[in-house]
Amino acid sequence: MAGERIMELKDISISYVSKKEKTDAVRNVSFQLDKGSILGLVGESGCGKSTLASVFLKLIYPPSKLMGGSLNYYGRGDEEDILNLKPPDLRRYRWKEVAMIFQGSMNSLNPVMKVEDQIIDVMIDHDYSYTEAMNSVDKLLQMAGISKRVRSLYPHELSGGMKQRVNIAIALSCEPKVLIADEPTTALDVVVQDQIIKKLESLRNELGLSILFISHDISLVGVIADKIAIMYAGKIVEIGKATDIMNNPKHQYTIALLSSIPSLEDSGKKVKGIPGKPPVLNREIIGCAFADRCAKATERCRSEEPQLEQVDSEHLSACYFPG
Amino acid sequence: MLTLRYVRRRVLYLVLTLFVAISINFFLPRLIPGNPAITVLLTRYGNHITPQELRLVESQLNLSGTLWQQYVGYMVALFHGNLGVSFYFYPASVSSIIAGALPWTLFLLGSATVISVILGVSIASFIGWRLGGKTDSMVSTISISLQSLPVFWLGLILQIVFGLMVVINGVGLFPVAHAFSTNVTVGPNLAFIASVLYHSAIPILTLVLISFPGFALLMRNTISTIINEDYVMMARAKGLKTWRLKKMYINKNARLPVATSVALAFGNIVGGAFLIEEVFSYKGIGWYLYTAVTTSDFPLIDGIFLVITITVVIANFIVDLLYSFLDPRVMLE
Ligand SMILES: Nc1ncnc2c1ncn2[C@@H]1O[C@H](COP(=O)(O)OP(=O)(O)O)[C@@H](O)[C@H]1O
Ligand SMILES: [Mg+2]
Repeated sequence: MAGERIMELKDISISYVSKKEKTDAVRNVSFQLDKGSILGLVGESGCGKSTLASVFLKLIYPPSKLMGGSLNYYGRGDEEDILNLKPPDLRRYRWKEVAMIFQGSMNSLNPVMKVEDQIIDVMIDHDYSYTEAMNSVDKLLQMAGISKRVRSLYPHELSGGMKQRVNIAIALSCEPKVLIADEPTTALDVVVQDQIIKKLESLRNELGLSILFISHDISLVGVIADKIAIMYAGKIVEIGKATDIMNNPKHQYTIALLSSIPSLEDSGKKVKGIPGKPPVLNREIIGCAFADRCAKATERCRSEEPQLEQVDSEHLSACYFPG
Repeated sequence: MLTLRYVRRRVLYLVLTLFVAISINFFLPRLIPGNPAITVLLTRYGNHITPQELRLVESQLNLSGTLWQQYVGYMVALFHGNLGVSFYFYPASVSSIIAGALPWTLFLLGSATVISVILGVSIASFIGWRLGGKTDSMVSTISISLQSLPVFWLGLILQIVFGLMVVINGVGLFPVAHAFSTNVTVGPNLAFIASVLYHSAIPILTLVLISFPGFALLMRNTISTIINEDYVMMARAKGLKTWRLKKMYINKNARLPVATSVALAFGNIVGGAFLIEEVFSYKGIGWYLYTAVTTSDFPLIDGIFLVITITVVIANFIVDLLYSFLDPRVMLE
């Protein structure tokens, strides 16, 4: 049974447009995010995950361009069409309803403002009083797992892990209902990585947050997510419950991703990535985008694109070779 | 952040710079063959001076002995705060001439620099929000054209236009020369202040027109790169009010390179101010320097270069302080 949805994407397409070329980074993506659950979005670097993440806050600025699709939000009761909000309403929706931890979060903090001011400003602009905001700083930092001492420091005085936690504190400041976490642990050491994962899990459990957890690391997502969507060349190629995806993958790309995880037994061996590279997205792709790297690919795979189809309950895959 | 170590280093740097500058300023003009100073004396007092009188004047002007002895004598006198006596304005001392002229130059320089920075930064903040638009390309084109005009040429043009061509009741709209008019009493009274502002308007305007485009263009270009920074994208995501996004996230970062460039541009503005003083017969340091150079007035040249060096070093120091105040990442040490 599908959970109660809080967001629903329909046919979202986003391209980067310049005078010279057009890169179709996200192509007709549809899925829903369930209330109080964690959806993992997995794919190799360059598959369009960050571009897709930008749509949730309508952070689409040149050269990025929305080519079509809709985004509905159900967090305030009624269905809301986010991509058509008027600028003042969009401003109020941002961060208050949906907050985000950015992939480049090492550089997401304003270098010339103190940590506390970067928490307080967003709260004030979302109608919290100054005293309320001032008093929340310690609690938020604590919630993010960092000493309240950092409130009066500048970003350059913090380590990578500390900056990431400050970003979490800022993300939680306006009590959002949805959190988009774009590679929140990349570039951190494994211990900090593990702590951040646990933090996000407990936030979901305690605050009932709905989280979109984006990563190129399927093993990491397997640990935390309730549902997993696999993205390849700008499209969702497989989506389902985390246990199904991890134990019973259907798409050849998912299978390849899973088999490239180094297991604990043969940790001495070299990690074998998937041979080849994802296709460039600045020209039309005919057939299955993964065909060139797929051992099982046939003539049909190269000429006719497989569509997402139900393979099991709540499990969709776009592959002619299920399993 | 300011540390004691930084202040000590800075002072040492000032002393070293001064020593080198003073020495170069001493020797360079005196390497010209002959002794034009004596010529000046002779033309002033005719051929009737006796050898004793000449020696007396020579020793007073530190012209006796070898060049090396003169240098030592000059340094010793300098150490006692004595800059010597001007040849051309004899018997006025160099210190008294500089003391009279420096405030005028600092006034021109200071106002022109402050106005240029404020104007440049304001214009850039305005077009920084409309990059790539019509206003942007128009302002950028005008700025680049203004920046490449020679300062004395622009000064002359403005002087002709506002002083001679635009005439009201038979008088030019703005005065063409001097720092204040002769019919006011010098002192802290309204008439004097008004006269000073009135006389400085066109010289300052000239300097501002030449200097502000540099600051505006620099900040505009900085904004165009800052717009793509991760922290600006995050600020947009935060749903901040537009004024806060512009003021605290974009402008606060974009003005940092401007602060650095003020220090670099200061030398140019000093040069510009000197030329402008000559064009407007504005009796500041630049006007005296021009006179001193054309009459080989060594002590006055030396004294003025000494003051310029001190001014530039102090200006750099102030900019450093300002920068450390603007950017928390900078530690002055
Ligand atoms: N600012 C940009 N301009 C042009 N192309 C871009 C830009 N950002 C990303 N892309 C392209 O869009 C595709 C998807 O990028 P991205 O969404 O960052 O992928 P991921 O987050 O999965 O690594 C890539 O092919 C990338 O080259
Ligand atoms: Mg990414």
